[in-house]
Amino acid sequence: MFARIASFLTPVLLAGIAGVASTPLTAESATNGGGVALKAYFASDAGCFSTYSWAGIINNCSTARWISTTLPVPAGWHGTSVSIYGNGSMCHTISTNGVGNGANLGPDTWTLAGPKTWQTLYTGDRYVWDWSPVLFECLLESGGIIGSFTAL
Amino acid sequence: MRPRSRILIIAASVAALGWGYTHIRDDQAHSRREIERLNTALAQLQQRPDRPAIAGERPAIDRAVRAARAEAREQTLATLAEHDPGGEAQAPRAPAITFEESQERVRSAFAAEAVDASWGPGAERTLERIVRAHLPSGSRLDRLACRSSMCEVQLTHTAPGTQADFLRTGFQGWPGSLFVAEEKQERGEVAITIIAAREGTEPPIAPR
Repeated sequence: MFARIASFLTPVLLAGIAGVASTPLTAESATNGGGVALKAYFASDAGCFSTYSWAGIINNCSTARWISTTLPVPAGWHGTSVSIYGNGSMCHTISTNGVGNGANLGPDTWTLAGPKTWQTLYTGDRYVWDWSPVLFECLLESGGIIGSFTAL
Repeated sequence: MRPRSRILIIAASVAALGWGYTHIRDDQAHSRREIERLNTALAQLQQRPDRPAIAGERPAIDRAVRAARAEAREQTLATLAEHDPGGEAQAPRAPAITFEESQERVRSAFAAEAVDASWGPGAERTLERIVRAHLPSGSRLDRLACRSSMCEVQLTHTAPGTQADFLRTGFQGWPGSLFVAEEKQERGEVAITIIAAREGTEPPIAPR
């Protein structure tokens, strides 16, 4: 019972307890944000999303919708990942060039097929230029949940 | 004013004051009864036998939360470490470079790259099919060439704002990352050069 509760809570709790803002996960400082920080890419989809548990975000609409957020990290190379619940969702990361234009766009990374499960998607290495945040963008399926996103 | 009227006014005032006083007393009595009722209910709740059980559940939930947090952290760090076996992401960072310097580095690297015959021609066919399938009206593909780890795609967009949407959707199906190596605006057109990296590689945007 205890293990089941723990496994269910695992992905969203990292973000929930750690907080939405930047949080050091190791002494070498990974930067982490809660899923709830993601917002609908198109304003008309805003009603599709709601907070899940403490700091996750869920798509309550019947079809997949775009959702995105930015994470401020220091200039340099960063490995990126997204903790997600689903079986038909996709995420990628983009670094911007200082005036908001996408400049380095990572490949689309899809969740595993099969039953919906919590999984960590590795969304690739992004080079981040000074004063330009890294953008996390996902096409979140119906019932899909994003628990957190991380840049190392 | 006649004496009879005065007497009537005074009597009415006294009656109104009396009525108000009686209502205030009734309200106070009602409030006291409510407080007593709530105190009794509170005392009963405090004596209920399930209080110790509720108190005992809290540490179990806290343990589950702690375990979940630790597991999620381990999963995320393990995934990142899997893709960073040399620990490059955690090594001291190289000095930051500007976006323009990155563009110059990538353009020079592509120009110097030899063609890998086992990858380049096939990648060109795949990429051309993907790009043409997504090309918006008013945009054109000017040049496409693949070498050993990168392909160069030159496009012209005539509709304003097309390039941002095209970068997001125009390469769906290509398994590698993209980099905007050059962007020029001339006579209302936007000429853009995109480097599409081979799957599993990154363009040499900056030193590692």
